[in-house]
Amino acid sequence: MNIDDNGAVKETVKSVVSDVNQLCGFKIGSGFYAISVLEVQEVIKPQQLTHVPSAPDFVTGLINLRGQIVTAISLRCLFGLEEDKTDDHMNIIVRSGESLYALMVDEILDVIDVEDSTFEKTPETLDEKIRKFIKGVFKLDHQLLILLDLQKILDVEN
Amino acid sequence: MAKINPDILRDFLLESFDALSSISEELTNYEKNLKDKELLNSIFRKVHTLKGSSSFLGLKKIQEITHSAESILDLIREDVISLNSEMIDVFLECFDACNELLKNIEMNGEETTKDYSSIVNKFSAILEKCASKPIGIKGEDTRIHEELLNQKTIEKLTITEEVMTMKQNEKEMTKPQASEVEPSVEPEAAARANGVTDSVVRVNVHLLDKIMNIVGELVLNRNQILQYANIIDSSELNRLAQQLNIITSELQNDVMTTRMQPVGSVLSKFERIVRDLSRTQNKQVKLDIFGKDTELDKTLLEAIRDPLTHLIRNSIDHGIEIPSVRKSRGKNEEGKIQIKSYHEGGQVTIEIMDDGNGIDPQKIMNKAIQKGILTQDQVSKMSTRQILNIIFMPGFSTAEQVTNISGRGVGMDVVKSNIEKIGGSVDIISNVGEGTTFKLKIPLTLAIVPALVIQDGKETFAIPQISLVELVRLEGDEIKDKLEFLHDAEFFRLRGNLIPIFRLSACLKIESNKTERVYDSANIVILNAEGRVYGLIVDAILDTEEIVVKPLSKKLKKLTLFAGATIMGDGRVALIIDALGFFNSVDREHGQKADSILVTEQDVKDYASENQEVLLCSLGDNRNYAIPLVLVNRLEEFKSNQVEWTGEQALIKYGNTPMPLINLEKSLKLKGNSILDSVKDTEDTTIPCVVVKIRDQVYGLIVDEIKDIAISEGGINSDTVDRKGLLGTIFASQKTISILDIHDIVSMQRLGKKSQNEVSTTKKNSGKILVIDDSPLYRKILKDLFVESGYEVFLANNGKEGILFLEGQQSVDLVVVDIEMPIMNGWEFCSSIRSSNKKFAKIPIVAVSTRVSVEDREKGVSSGFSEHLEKLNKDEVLKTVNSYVSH
Repeated sequence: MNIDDNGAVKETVKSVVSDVNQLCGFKIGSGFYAISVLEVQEVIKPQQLTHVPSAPDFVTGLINLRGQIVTAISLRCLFGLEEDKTDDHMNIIVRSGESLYALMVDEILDVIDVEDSTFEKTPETLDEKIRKFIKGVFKLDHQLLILLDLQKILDVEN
Repeated sequence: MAKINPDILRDFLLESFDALSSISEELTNYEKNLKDKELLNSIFRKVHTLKGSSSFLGLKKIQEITHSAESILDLIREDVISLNSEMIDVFLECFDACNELLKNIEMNGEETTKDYSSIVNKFSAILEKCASKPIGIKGEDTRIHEELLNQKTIEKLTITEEVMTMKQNEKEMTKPQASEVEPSVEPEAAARANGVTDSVVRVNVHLLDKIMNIVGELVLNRNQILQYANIIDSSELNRLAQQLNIITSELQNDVMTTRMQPVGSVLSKFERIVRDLSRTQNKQVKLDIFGKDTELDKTLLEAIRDPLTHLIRNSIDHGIEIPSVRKSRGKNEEGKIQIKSYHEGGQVTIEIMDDGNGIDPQKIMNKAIQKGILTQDQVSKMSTRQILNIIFMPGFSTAEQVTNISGRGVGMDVVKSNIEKIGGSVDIISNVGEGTTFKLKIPLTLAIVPALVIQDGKETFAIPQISLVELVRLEGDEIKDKLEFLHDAEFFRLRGNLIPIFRLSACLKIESNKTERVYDSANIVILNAEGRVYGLIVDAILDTEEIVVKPLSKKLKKLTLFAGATIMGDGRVALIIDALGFFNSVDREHGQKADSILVTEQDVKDYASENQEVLLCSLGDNRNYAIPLVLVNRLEEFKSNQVEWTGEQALIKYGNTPMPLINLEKSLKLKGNSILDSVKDTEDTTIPCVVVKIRDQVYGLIVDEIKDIAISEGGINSDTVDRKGLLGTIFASQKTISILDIHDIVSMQRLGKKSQNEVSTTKKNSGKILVIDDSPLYRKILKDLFVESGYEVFLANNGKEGILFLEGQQSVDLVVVDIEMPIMNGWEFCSSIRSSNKKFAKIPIVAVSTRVSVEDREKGVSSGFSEHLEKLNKDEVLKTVNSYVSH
């Protein structure tokens, strides 16, 4: 897969990634995604969920994390991917203001060091459903790593 | 001196002791680093404040001393002189003197008679010296030192003298002198240790909040441990858990009190407001405040400040009359406002009482109608109390004149909503001519609330007890008897009052354990949401528990039906149901149901609305038939042995009257037998029965099985009808289903003359009615309804057709119009009729829609509808139509 062929702008956007060099990588479906490690509070195993009736679909429930209420968000659902039937997932705990969120992902990868020079703006041909949550893409040796825009994910309304 | 407000004095002492203790340290620091201007400024500020407040309180000596100290400091600040150790000594002496004076004030309430002029003199000496020589002289140093020593001896002397007098007073004591002095000194020291400074620590509110949160966690943890201890059979664990329980409760209580502040701190500010306001308004008002010591959580105190201010302003502005008016009414010229605060039932009540002219319910009523907030009809049904509460409605302000005090947008509705936001309530009592009392009830604290824990399905929920009214449990037959259906809404009669009932599982669309099962018992939680009482059916009521309210994340803030979440004893997260939010969202959902259908079916020509709902049931031929839901009164089940017969007609006792049962198979000449036919043989089978009400007479339609409620998709096709009694076919649940023509079927019955008599009496009506509705099913039903009552009925599909019809036809007496229609809806239709100058501009227009909210009604009447009725309420529609077209 070559992004250049898709007509994406090739310039490196320093401002977007200037503070990003270590990323927390994770897998959803077959895609590799990441957010800055600085945004991650911790990673926890699947927890007991309390379902929230009438909440948006991507809110899978509430988790009790040592006395704090955490809102669990299924990235699969948010990205319009098929729901995973298995219970096997991991929760990435992130904080936004006063609220804690758990991003439910399939699998946690390592902390990945990236160089700014491998950064590309989000290809415009991506599905708008996912595109709006993406800051850009890092071209790693063997795969593409999608850098998510955490704020956009947490700000999303329904 | 004695006049000083003890509160102010206490604050002054606290502040001054604080300042003095740091000042000495700062001064010595400054001595080491003369360049630190900031430090100097800080010292200066403190001395200045001390001087200011002491002069304000009339503490002459402190004022004098600090004044001279300040002048020197000022010179140092301006670099005229520089500080030397000699000066520092004087300063320190000065601050010690202040300290001494303050301590005396603290204990005796006044300054000592001791003379401190020496210090002042020293300062002025420095001042003089500095004027000539910029730097101090050594000789001076020693002199001051001497003086200092002198003073110390003086102090010592006075103390020994005191001791001596004490000793003399205690002549009977025979103990040696040394031990005698000690006990007389110690109590003094002890008293001092308990003085203001030592007993008060300033703590950051954030830290308190944090401690509060942690205690909250502890409470949760205790709950979990208690629960665990109950399961595990260990007396030791139990004992420990109980101990933990007691300690935690105590800690929780104490921490809570740290956040408590006397309401006086807010109430006292009203003295000024009342004074200023009454002066600008030329009114005489006296304010009495009772119960200043009542304590309230700090955040709550902040939250009630503005609402209280508004109420006070209101009392002066609208309540208290001007003196001449008061005199003519035989009242004291000086108006009185009383604020009382006290504890009552675990809450703090704050009353604001004025002896002004009170609130006239009649005026309120007129105003509400005039402003279009309520209709005459609604108002006439209201109690005086309800009418008074209208002033809390948005958009209502009784002030005939908008003054700069009231009528500035911060209405009474804001007062109410602010108080309710913190879990409180506002009540109003008013007697015309005698005055008005506002009663505010405020919870003691916000963070930890007692709540009822309930279960529905697998989920646990908490309901704050503040919105809880009572719990009702229905068992066995009671359920059927006491839960009544009006169309698809359930109601419960609570001591004669009809209150709406919701099933939590259905409202939240969660799986209930009992969904499929017939309820053998029902737990109803009766809630009060801002005066709207309703019941919630839940699977189980578990316990009451103190819960810590945790806010939901930003993403879920929009879910107004939950007030937050909490962590239960077992560590699980439970949602807290907000009684008001729940009610509103349930209300809205009902309305939205109609909307969503409208949207999805928009492109369908004959677009459906929820009045296309039909009840599916099967008959003896095993086929499905449908009955328009609008005609269904109730669904019942009877035992076959309850059925009685008169000739060929089956009857059943329904309420107090016999209800004819209709054999649908026979009426429609269908294959297969009705259950009714087999009844004679068996004894105890259950007969499902659909009760319909036609022309004021109830009929029971016997069906094989009541299946479901379906929504008819698309129109009704009457070309397919092959026999009498069928209205046509519809397409619902992906099947073609025949719709029963209930009116037809009922008239087919060769039943008593009673019903026919009634027909003939109702036939007396005459007049022309235009029915505009896009739903063919409902058009047909409305037509039947009116035709049976003797009217001539014309039909139109939408507003546009309606107008075309009116323009063509010479006249009709009344128009019945649906609201939601394609091409031209009811609103548009109405406004275009009303604004036209044709002769039909004044024709009565009755709007019908499935759900009519108060706003709809207002909007309806203001946009020119004569009436706005619920479509499903046939009786009311007919009655209204009759009243407009009466002959």
